[in-house]
Amino acid sequence: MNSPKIINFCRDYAVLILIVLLMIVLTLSSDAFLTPRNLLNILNQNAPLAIIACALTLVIIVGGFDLSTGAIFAVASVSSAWIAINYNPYVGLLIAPIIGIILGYLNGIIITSFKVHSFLSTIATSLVFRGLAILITGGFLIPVRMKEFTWLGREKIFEVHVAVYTLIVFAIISTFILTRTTIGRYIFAIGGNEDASILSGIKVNFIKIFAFSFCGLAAGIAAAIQVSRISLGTSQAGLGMELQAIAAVILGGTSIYGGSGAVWRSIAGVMLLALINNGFNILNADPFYKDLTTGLVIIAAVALTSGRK
Amino acid sequence: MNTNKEPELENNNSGSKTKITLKNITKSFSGITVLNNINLEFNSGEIHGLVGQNGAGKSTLGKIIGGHYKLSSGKIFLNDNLIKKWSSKIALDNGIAMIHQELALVPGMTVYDNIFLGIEENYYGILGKQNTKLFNDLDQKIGFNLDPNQKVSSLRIADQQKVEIIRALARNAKVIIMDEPTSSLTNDEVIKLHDLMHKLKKSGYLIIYVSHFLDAIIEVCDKISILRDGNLIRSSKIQNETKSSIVEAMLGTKEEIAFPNKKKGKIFDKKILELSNIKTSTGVKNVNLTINKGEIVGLLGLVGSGRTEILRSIFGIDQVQSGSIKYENEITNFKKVKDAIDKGIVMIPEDRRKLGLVFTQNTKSNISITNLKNVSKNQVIDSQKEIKLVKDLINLLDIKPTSTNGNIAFYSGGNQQKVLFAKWIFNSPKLILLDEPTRGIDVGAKRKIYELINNLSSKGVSILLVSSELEEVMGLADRAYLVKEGETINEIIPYQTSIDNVLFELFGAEKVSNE
Repeated sequence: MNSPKIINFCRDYAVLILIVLLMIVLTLSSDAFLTPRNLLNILNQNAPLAIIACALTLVIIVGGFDLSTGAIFAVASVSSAWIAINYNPYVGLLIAPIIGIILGYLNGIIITSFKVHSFLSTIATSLVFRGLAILITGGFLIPVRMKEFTWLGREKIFEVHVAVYTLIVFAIISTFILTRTTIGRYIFAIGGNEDASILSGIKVNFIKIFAFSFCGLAAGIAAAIQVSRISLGTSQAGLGMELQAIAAVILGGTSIYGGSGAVWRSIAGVMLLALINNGFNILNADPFYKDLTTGLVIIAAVALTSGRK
Repeated sequence: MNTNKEPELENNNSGSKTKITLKNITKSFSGITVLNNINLEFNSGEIHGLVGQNGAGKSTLGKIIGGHYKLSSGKIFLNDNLIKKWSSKIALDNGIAMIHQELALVPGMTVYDNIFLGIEENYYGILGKQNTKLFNDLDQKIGFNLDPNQKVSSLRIADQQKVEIIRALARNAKVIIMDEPTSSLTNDEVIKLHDLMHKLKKSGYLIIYVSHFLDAIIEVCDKISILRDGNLIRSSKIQNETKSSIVEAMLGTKEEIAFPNKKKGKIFDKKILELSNIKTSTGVKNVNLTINKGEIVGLLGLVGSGRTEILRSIFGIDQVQSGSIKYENEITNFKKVKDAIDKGIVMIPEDRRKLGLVFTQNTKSNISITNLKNVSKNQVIDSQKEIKLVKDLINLLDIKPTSTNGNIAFYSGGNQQKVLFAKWIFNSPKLILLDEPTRGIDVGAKRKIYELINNLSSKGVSILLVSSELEEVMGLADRAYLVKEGETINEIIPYQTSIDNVLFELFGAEKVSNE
């Protein structure tokens, strides 16, 4: 391998290299780190964020941005809890992804019909959605203590949480859409050159609406897992989650200009953030340094991946 | 489900004739009429040329037929049926494909994926396997030899154009609109393209050929429509036209297409730039050349021969690995473009859309950006001074519209090119590296650019000129180097030799007539 190849390799696998380095450091410094229990826990705890990051990858590749995932997450959470209490816990869990799709679809419609940049319009819709969540709860918390409701977030099958299976299935579906379907091909094409895509006869608006709806769906599924796990609906759920998800996707090396990226990278991004967090916990390190360290790692990873087309 | 059928070039006479009729077509952009009451008919089995100066409306007309622009008024009939809704997608669905002058490809995707973009083989949305056979059949019929798995961003513009052409064929288009398809092809490739167009025509295709290369138009077209200032001057059979009758109709006045007079045998002895044995990672090697003060030096070579790369290495974009560059008697090796600019070297790039102009900014800002220091004090721009200097340049180069606040995105190609020139002249450079200065612009604008190049050199500015139009280099340069596979292989004095001789040497044994 000559030097440009090594540089390319670093760019493509920066996030994996950082994860491996971090895992080695953590393994050497604590016996508690490299245990299946700890690793599965990390995966389980971060499953909701990782699900959102998977779908957000599609939005960012298509050249968009979704800053409303946290707010969609909140609406889906509180609706889910409210329906579980007032109607049926299973319907409650099911309603979260449906609400997610509807709100994501709305995002897509607003972006394509008013031709506003998604960065702007999703800031606006995030306020609208968050406001909606507050209206639904009336400012109160909605506790749901039913086994029929909490299984999704808490139960295990063969020692592995249901949430982890959900994440795996969702990641596979996202990857499949992105790499094996015409929709995925068009997502790359639009992000790479929107004009060329229009001229190729691609229904650009439809594809964008699809990407945002899919992202909404992810936020809804994530919300169902989380609300079921903490058995509490709150309008403040998912605050700041949209930024964590974006950070994870960018950390994975998906281009913020669109046109390139992959789902597995975004999951790796989530895991890198999670490992830093976990490291602080098991090493009993001063938590005051946590944000600072996370920020520095993001800068390092972005520096390694910059120059990517 | 959506499966591709192989386009049959040979036996397509299955009686499916295509006729496109335009009735009273008018198009205006924000109040400016660019097409005025056009009536035209296109029939399958013909190659129909659209010619005119830049800004005459020929590209716009092509884009309207291709569904890229909406009409302001008028009617389009497809096989005598009035078309109610028209877009590029509907046009494609009806077998009308357009090859754009400003290429419309997705850079990050492979050649294969670009060709079949929008028409991928799929089963209920799930992509099928790459159909290598289909690609190879298409590619072989045209003889382009493209690698299906190469990324488009790594292809030269000429190869990207080939991708667009195959793309139209892959769509089973019956009507292909080509907007300046030859502007970056080599002569050899142009001949191949023309052969292909003939073949397509014989199999019943309709080809609408928008071009400013009159020789090419005369050679391949059956019919020709001449536009001037948005009006259709006339539409006639090619047999009834000659080159000068066409030019006359395009310009409105009779005018010779010629290069400015050159003082032959002028002696240049003040060396400004000397390259010896330059080698770069971009394929340039053994390049030796000198340029004197006030001299126009040309690089003659085929597309892909490394001409642009030589310019890039001088300008400090690509790093020189070995060999030396001597500029104004000092060994230099510019690490950054800014170093080169500070020393009075500028490069006017080939791809003005991507590399030259900022389309979100107006004329003034585009021109003055290279030397804001000149018109500002303590970082504050003196707008009176700026406007005055910019106005002088607009007058000097005859840029139209003459407004300093013009929106250059809507300028014609020729005027954009002039703005690009103005931008660099603003900086009063000593050496200009010129890459394809007249790509995609019309006769009138070309003439202006030639005069400008000549004027600059008479004022002592040195120019290194690269152009795919060999006549241009032959007509303008005082001296020229032949470039082949990244190397300078010979040095010639243009007026002492002929284009035929140059071509003979560049192509090796293959002798290509240019007339």
